[in-house]
Amino acid sequence: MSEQNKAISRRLVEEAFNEGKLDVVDELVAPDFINHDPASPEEIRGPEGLKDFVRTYRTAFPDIRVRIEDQIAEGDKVVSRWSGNGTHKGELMGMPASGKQATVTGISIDRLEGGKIIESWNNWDTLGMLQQLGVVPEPARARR
Amino acid sequence: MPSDERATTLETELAMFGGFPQPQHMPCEECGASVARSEAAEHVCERERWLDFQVHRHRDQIEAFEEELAGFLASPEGQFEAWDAERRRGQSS
Repeated sequence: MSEQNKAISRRLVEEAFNEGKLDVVDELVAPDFINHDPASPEEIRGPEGLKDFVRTYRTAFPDIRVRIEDQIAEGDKVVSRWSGNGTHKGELMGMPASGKQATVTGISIDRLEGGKIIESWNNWDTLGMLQQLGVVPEPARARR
Repeated sequence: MPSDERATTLETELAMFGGFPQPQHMPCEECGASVARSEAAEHVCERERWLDFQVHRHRDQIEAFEEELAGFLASPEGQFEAWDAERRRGQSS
């Protein structure tokens, strides 16, 4: 079961985020899915909410590539340590395209039920992304 | 900021946070590529990425130039210049 759950979490990342196959979200995510992410103003709910989220990031970073570096599974949960990279070519949360590439890392925990992801908790380097895109100054530069 | 004041700020940061969070990667100023800080000294810009980034960086100027050029080519003077250039090209071939 753990290996199956890992594969489901991996498919969501690789097929939805990396390849833009949004139909896979309906296959892998439960109708009452909820995603907790301190970087999002609101919790993402349901497959449609997740599709909107993926669309937002694929519009901002059309060449986005998320790599799962490590996975640990126990019971109904899968922990994935990932890194992501992409070029900022579209608007993101009011930030106009900068043309800059950003690399971030994060850790996600998915809870699965009946072969679908029903709940996720994500923590990732939002500050690092904002610093790389030049929206938030690096402390070293800000001090000058 | 004077250097002694900067040093104090840094000391305070280190004491409070063990170092203020800074990303491990930063985009190259010239080509926008994401470069690990540890590899920044060896980074060499890829020509295509450099060009894309420079075009993106100067997109407002490029757009303004294109508008200005279109305006000029639509003016009597521009139309004459275009006609004359075409005429001279015909003569040289």
